[in-house]
Amino acid sequence: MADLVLRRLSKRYGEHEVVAGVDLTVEAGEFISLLGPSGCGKTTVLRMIAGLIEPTGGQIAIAGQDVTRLPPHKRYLGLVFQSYALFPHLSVHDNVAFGLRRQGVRGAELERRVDEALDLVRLGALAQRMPRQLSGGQQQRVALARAIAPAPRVLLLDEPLSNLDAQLRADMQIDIKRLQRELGITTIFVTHDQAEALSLSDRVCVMSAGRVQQIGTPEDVYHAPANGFVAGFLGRSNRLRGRVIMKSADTITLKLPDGTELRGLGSASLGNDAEAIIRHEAVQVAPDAAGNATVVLRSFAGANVQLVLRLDSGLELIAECPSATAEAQLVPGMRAAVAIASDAIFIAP
Amino acid sequence: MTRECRAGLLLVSPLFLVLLGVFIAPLALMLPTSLHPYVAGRGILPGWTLANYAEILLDDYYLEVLGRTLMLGLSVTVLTLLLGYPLAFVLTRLEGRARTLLTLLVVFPLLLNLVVRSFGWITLLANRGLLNNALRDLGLIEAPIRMMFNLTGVLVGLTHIFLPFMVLILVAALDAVPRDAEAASATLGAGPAKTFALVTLPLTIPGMFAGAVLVFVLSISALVTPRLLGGPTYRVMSTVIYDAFLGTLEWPAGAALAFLLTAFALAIIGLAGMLTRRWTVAA
Amino acid sequence: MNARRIHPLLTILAGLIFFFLLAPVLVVVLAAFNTTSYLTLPPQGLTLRWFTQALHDEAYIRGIFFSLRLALSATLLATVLALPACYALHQRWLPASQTIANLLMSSLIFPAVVIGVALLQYASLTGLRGSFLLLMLAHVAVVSPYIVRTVLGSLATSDPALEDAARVLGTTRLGAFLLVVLPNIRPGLIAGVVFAFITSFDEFTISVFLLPPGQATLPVAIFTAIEHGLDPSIAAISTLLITITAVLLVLSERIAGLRRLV
Repeated sequence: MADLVLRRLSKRYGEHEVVAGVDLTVEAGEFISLLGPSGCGKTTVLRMIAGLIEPTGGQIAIAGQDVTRLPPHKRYLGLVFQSYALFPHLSVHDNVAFGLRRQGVRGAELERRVDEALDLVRLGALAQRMPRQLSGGQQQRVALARAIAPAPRVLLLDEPLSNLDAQLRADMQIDIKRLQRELGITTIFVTHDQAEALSLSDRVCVMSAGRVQQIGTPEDVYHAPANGFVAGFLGRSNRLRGRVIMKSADTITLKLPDGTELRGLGSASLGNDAEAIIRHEAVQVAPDAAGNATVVLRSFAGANVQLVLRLDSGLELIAECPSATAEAQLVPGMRAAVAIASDAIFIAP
Repeated sequence: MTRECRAGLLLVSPLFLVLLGVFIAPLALMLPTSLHPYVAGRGILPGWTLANYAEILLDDYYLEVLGRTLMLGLSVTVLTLLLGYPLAFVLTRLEGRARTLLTLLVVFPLLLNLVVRSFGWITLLANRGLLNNALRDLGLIEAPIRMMFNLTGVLVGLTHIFLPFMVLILVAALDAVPRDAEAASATLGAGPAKTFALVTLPLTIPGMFAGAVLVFVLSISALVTPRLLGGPTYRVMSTVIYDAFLGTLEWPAGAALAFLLTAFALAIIGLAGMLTRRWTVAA
Repeated sequence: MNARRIHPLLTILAGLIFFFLLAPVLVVVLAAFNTTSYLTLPPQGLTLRWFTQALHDEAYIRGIFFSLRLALSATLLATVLALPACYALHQRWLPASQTIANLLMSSLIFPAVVIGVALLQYASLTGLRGSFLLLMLAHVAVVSPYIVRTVLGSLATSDPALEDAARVLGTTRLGAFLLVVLPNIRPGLIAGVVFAFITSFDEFTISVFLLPPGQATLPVAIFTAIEHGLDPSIAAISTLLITITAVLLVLSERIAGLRRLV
């Protein structure tokens, strides 16, 4: 298995810079996600790694070898497409054998490796079917088998699960993770679904507008966001606008229009407008008849309950708590005490 | 990008060069010919003149040919529209096997040789052809009706040749009318006839226009059918050009006429394109 | 979706128009089998006499072979030239790809007689009068639009990811085109090729100006025969043409489906 290094990778179309200098080092055997909203450049980065798009600047190195100018068929990578891209005129078996045949593998060796790949995705019995006879989930797994059969150095996945329904998606996520662990293959996974990225990856690379916002473990990017974008993109948050009235070495004080002062960590400048980002689950709620807030709305979401609370100062916050707690039993009209830990407030420009 | 451009040029050039060499170049070469004087008995002379073009636009003989050609084109267009629309309409209301079969039967004459099709009409329309013989045998007529070597024959022949084009274009236009629009019209109280007149027909006008332009341009360019069904004495632009080049060898006059025909065709297509753009922008 | 009810009058009208469309074809086939040399309804008797006569006629036989040679070579060359051009246009490697595509298909609507006479003069001037090559190239120019149209249409509806997948799995662009793209546009390609072949075989207007002396394509041979006087053997040879065309059309529809043809 190989490591992958991206150095100042960029892509420009005319005036528009889709990818603006991405630096990334992926260790051999690591599972890393490129996470970001549509248009952030993550798919472009993936396609540049695959060789399908030519970078306007920067380098790509696999296992120490500079592959930036190498055509796709010489890079020995695996790519799973969002639309699966199975060859409709070939059977499942021939689809999986395609990459192996290009490498000159024939005969018994070919059959063995095709069977191996299909067994890994548990589709051994469907080898003679045609793609159009398979369900979405099955096509997805064939696409995976096809990509890994030629033993690629790096596995690339371009939002492979977006076309599946929720249950299937959850199942496939576990399958992919297990497969990756078993094969130990370096994997780059592109997705816009932050829950997916957090649950699958060893590290997450958050992107926005063509730039890397933060690279870190799922815990890092979730609990210690590097900037306002990351803080807001991961998890579900309250966003409150105000002005920075005080800034010290490690704390920023933000004053909201209603007078409330919030103290937290962040990168905003003194005197400027900024935004406080507070995760829903960071809003602490306790039933209290003498509290500082009233419950306005309650929605039950299975494992969690969402509460919309209006503070006496007029401020509205959304809180999320597990369904089995006391605060989850609050209903609209009841009073509660609301508090927020200062290390759960992130203040960004 | 330049690498892509170069590859693109490389891949497109061979076909383009063939078209250039066999299509554009000969046309360009014919232009000077149309501007040379011609004297009967002595052939083409060097020198330049606009006499060939002037003659076409001023001489009664040529004007008659021009007029006949354009009128023929117009008549054929109208006839194919009138006959094609009902056929297209019924075709779009069918489904599955029936529609496939009927569409094949409409496409089939298109692929058939022009000469063969004209021959079929000759067999039908000649003085001793099928139609006349049948009418005579039934005692309905004494002398044969003259349906060939005149306007009637050519009109029938050309309408037949271009009807499939019109039908296929109209089928596409009718298919593009959203079924929901017609359903909506019905729920608002309009019967089938009203729905057709107020909803379906107006929505197919762009298609009708496209079909009309195509049929008109093809009709005024037609050679085989007017020659076979109209005979050597029935003159339209194409047959005059044919005679000029293969018969009398008056190439300059023929060339001038050919360019005039081309000018008509391009003008119609250009005008149609402009109008279509104007309408789609306004819409 | 329910089939709509069609007014009976409309059906009758459509039926009549249909009959008009197919009448000449039926008449020709009838005349080919008729015992008498003029047509009557009902026919006097059936015979295969005219077919034997037609198939023994030198002019027709030579016409058939000449047309076959011409149509096969023109269609083959047109396909070889059109495929790469369509690929490049589909990938938008050139600016204004749509305009270029339209230009490549412009011979469809251009007056054929004008092209014919222009080529005649061109051939005379360059001493290529009667050259088979020139005639063949002229046919390539005339039939390639049919191939360009169907291939571009097929490429437009094909999945671009297929080519990418093949390239990542180890093929060059050319390999991807041959192994993956081509098999998937095969129906459209076949429809275009069949149309092109039939068009070339049937072509009259340009061929008549460019024929080598003493040679004729089948349509020209039939035309000459008609100008010399009507004769049921013309009907016989025409019926053969009709049958072959019908068979090709049905085969094409089986393989490619109706969508591609129209």
